[in-house]
Amino acid sequence: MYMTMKEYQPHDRDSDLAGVSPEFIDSLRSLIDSERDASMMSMPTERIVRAVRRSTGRSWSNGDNLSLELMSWFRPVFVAGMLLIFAMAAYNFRMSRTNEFAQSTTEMVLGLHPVTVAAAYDPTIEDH
Amino acid sequence: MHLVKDVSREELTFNNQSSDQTLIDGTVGGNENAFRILVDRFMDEVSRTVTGMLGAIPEVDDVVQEVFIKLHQSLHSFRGDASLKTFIVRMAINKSLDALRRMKRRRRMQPWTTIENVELAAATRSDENLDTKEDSQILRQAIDSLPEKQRSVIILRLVEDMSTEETARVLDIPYGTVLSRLKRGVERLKMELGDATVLR
Repeated sequence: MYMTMKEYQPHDRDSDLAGVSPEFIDSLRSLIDSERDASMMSMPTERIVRAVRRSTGRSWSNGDNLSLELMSWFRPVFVAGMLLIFAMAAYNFRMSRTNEFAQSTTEMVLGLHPVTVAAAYDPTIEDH
Repeated sequence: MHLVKDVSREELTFNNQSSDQTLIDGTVGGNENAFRILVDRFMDEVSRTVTGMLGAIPEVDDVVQEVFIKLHQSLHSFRGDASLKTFIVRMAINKSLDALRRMKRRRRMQPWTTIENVELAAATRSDENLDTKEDSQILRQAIDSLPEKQRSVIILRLVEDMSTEETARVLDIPYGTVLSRLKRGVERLKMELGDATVLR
């Protein structure tokens, strides 16, 4: 399953290892190789990738993907809504220009009746 | 916009020949395959270092997993001052030291766990012949008797075959300190092993 350390070959940089026999180093390495094989469960890479996905990657990418997905779904709805609002405002504005009463721009855009002091106190509310 | 960018990253192909930096960039960009190759590439170094520090105990598997999860979280801050191997082995040493401290605390509270661990370590080597098994046990006891600082130098220098310079970089200690810890560690191992056959 795992790579085993190759047999120890002394080289030039090992001056600080004087007094340590190559056989001892080999014994040390084979002990640790056998201990590792006994301690590690199978398929460590897959388990690690799954653990990383669970702990960090998945939650982050899911949240990120959800917001991106929602944005992509609602973008056309937002554009269509804005177009509709502009169309209605333009229609109101154009229709109000033909009105004989003097209207403010806000009243024209929103298609409101002109509000005067007389109209505000007029008891015949049916006209409005 | 972001979605298009992510998809193009996913489409990039990574393989065993990809450089460490390419795999780091891929992992930071969210590519799972790049991270999988990184884990495969450094699995031997990490698992050997952790086992060397802790011995044959079930915690080894968890600590190795912790090292790679920590690596995944820290890769975005990896500046490349040291090699990726140095960065990962340093994490493996630090996580092993954390685990040793946790185990010491647990042993103080529950002394019987020590017996369980010794029994497990013995059971894992039950298929070996008696001499080898005895030698292995003696050698493991000698390693475990080393202070943590000397043990980490012995593992990196003798087991991982790192140079003195590499060992100093991993442990973030001066060159001379590596030499003195190695000398003292080897002397202590010899003293602990005495006439055991592993030294012959």
